[in-house]
Amino acid sequence: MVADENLSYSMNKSTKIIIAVVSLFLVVFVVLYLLNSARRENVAPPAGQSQSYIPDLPDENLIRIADDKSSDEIRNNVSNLSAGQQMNFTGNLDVQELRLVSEENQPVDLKSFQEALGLNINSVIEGMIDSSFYSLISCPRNDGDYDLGIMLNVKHFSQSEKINFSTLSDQISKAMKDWEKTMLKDLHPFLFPREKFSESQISQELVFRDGKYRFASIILPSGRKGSINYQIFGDPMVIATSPECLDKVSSSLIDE
Amino acid sequence: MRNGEKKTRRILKSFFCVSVFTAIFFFAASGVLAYNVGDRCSSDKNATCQKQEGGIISGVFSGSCPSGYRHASSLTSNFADCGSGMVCCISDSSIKDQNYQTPSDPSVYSKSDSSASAVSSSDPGGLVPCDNCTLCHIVIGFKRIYEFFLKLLFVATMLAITVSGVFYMVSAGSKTLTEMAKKALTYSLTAFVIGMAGWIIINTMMTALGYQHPYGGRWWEFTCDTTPSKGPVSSGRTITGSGGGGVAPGDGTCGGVSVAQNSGQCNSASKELENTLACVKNRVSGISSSKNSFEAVYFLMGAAQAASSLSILSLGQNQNNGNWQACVGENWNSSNCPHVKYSCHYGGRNCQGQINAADLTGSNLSSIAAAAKECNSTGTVLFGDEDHKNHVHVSVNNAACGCR
Repeated sequence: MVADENLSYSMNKSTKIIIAVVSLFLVVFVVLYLLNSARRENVAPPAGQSQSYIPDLPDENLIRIADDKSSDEIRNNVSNLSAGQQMNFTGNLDVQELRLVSEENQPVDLKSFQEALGLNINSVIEGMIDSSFYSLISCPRNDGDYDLGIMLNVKHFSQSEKINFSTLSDQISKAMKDWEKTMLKDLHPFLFPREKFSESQISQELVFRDGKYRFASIILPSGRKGSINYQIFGDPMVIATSPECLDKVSSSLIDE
Repeated sequence: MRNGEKKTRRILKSFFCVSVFTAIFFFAASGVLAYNVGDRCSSDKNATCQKQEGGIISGVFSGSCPSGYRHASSLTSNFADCGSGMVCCISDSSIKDQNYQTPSDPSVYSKSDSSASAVSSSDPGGLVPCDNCTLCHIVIGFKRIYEFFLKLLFVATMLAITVSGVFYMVSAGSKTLTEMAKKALTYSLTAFVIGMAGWIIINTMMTALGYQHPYGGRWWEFTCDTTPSKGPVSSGRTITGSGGGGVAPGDGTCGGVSVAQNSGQCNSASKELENTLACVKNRVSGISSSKNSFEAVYFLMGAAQAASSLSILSLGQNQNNGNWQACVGENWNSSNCPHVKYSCHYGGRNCQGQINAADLTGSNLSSIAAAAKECNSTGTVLFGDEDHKNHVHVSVNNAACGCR
């Protein structure tokens, strides 16, 4: 009988402790939730400005778009680029990395750039890259023309994105290989702006091969020989219209 | 015997309660600190946001701060809230109050880093890490108490399992002893599971609530100032522009990673690089060398990288007898300078004279690259092409220093 009373007393005490702990926990939880909500409002960076990891470029490497929502504006500036009008090769670099920015110095989103030029990016790759961190590459050729390229960068994943980092590079390589089939169709308005491809020409499935870089040869509508070459350097991946341009990117823009 | 059981039960309950309360304390304290961490230019009484004029010259903003004010870099995270085309200016008087170090370039100034994650050298150790205590020290104290109890949880569980096993073996058919051994085992395992599950429950709730760390870390990571506050500019974060320390300097340890050559260059590495290196080391070396108890949870969740040896092949550079300073700035293309213009190895555009990149090598480069990508929130990882076959290049502070 006494033992039962002790047991009952002990149970009551345990229940009280559990209730106290749970209550305390709930109070702390609610307070923290409110604090976090308030903090988010207080420290939220101004619109368009984030805690960036994107390295800035000198002013001469920025193409300013007066109205970054205007496809025409973007298209005009990029066509100037492909015509070599904005080239200002400073220092002794033989390749130029350029970025599209708004008047407020904010990067023009990759989506806007794509829409303006009618480009497509493989959906898996699109999900892995930072849409505000891309560069246009221009390499002068001996004949006075320019080889063009685009540098995409693997984004920094947030905690909510459940990423298996140990297989990330394999996933990117696989996605790039999947993209090969439609790379010409998807990127020709930027990579070969002056070529007039017929529907059948741009729909052809290119055969990419392994070389110094992954590449596919193309006979362009103008009769000139061309190619699409790409290299994954880790975070950056560069697609360019000549292996020489990729060489220049590798030696001048990508650190060892 | 019944009294003995009750005692055991009471001890286990007390132990459980202490564990829960400690977890709640640490959780609450770190949450409050996350709320209070860092000053921002727009809310600082002695700082003011001004329109940027004259562009950026060698990483130092020019021509826009009023008389009596000096430029703080808008590129550092906690003073980057002025908005586009604006810079943060801090009054001279508040700078003097805060014991800023003045390097050779008079337009550049820095304040030593005092983040809680790297307690200052004056830290006396023990559970109370200060003589002149601040709120930050309280949190560090909680963290240490929590870590102490977490270790105790492992040890006590192992001890209880062993003791119950011994009881079981020597019970020789005694029903009472067998029952006692069973109960002790059940209670100890229950306490262990509850102790571990507490972290998972909190983590799940934080994720469900969409918690985002102000500086990109995880909810249990925090950075706060251990410097006793003297004025409104109380952040321990560095606010420099360039010239040998644009971001927080490291303590010369290279994150505990061994250096193949020119280990003295560790003294020029940034704090962020050290933290990243330490993180990569933990990821690829398993839980044994971890300083962080939560690594065990990572390991159990399968998030740890495959094991690999790890060492630093190069920091600034090894060529030219390691004289990387000869390659800084416009000298990047000189002979014996292997890196690109504004390389993070040389400090980049804005942090010249500070090393913000390392070339890593080891037995499993893929694993090192994956760990580097996971650990690095401020920079770039290069690996897999012709130039990065024998090493993984990891750079940090890309935005702040204008490099990669």
